Amino acid sequence: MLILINPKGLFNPVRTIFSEIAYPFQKTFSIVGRSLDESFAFMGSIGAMKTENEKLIRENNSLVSEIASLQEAKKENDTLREQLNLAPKDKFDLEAAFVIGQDPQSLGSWIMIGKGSADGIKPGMPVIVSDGILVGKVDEISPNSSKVSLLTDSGNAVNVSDLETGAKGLIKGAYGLGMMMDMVAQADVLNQGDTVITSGLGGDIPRGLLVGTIQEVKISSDKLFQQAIVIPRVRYQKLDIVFVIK
Amino acid sequence: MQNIFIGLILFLSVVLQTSFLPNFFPAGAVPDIALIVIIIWTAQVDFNAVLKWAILGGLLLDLASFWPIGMDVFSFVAVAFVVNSLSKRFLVNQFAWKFFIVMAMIAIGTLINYVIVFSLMKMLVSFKGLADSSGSIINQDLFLKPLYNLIVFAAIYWPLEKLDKTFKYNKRIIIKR
Repeated sequence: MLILINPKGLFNPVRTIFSEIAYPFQKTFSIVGRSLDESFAFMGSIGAMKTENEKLIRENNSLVSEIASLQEAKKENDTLREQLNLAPKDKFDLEAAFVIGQDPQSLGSWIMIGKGSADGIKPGMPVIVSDGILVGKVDEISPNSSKVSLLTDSGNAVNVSDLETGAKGLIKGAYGLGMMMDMVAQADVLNQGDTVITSGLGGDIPRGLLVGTIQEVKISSDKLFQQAIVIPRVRYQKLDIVFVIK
Repeated sequence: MQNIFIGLILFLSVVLQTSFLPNFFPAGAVPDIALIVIIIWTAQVDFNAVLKWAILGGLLLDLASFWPIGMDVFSFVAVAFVVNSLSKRFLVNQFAWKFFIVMAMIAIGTLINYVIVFSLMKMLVSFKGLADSSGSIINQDLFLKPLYNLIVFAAIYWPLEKLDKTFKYNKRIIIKR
């Protein structure tokens, strides 16, 4: 009972001190771990490289002939990008940060980044990856590090809309298991495979950041709203560098 | 000196668990290295002697993992208590099989820790009125966690044993003086 009612903020000073002490260790271990992971992945792929190389030579020959047709596809792609009207990354004041820690528990959903209040980071700031994909919001800060609650955290709620149909709703986390787009009016249209972006309502998160793709559409238990299971566009466990929108 | 060293090991274990191991293991099944260290120590000494280290280990993990303070403390103490009871029952008679008995305790301790943390999390979610979509307690993490913990246990068991013997040896020298 004490665990449940203990106020979260009470231990913040202790947590800040701990974060400050742990920061250099976390940063070092995180970088070493990532490098080792990449090295293992590289070494594991050496055996397959020879076979793959021969295969690639064959593929290369056929790909040359496809280049011409791809030129046309490129034009179409450019047009679609304009139509999507996604938020251009360069219009934000971004602060790049390394991911130095992750939630080891199965139910949690946060990452720790190596930038904090000393770098102008404040709670509530949105965090994206390089492609303009929203991954979460800054939750707690200390001078040199910050905790970012991912979109899959159930404590997070972000206003979103369906890019194709314009249906508006609220996306909530499902404890690391995915995301749920909720509070969508019955009259609105949601389709499987639609792209979900931030709607900008509420003002805390800019409009046009990619969130994910709708996997399944269903009706809420009270039959009042539509819900959709949304699959994130990135694997949160593999995040190396993120950008905080200041 | 020994206390500082043990505290340092626990601190590094927690940092490894939150910053290093997530690079190699799937989310939700990251090995509980701090818990493994506590279980190894618990199997060797009296419960009262390991209690403070279980509390410290849990506290450090709570601080590092942003969950309410006390969740891992409670879990670690409960695991230490169970493991200590089991070690008294089995390790005394079967000392030759120590490695395998401690291994079994790691598996049991991991499951107890998983169930306690999962249950407390469910209660917390319910208490705070958050949307609970965490699913059933029986999922693949329930099987992966003990497996990964056993792998990590096999890697750190002998170095920890060696360290323990070093401290015991140093202590013996001091007593002789």
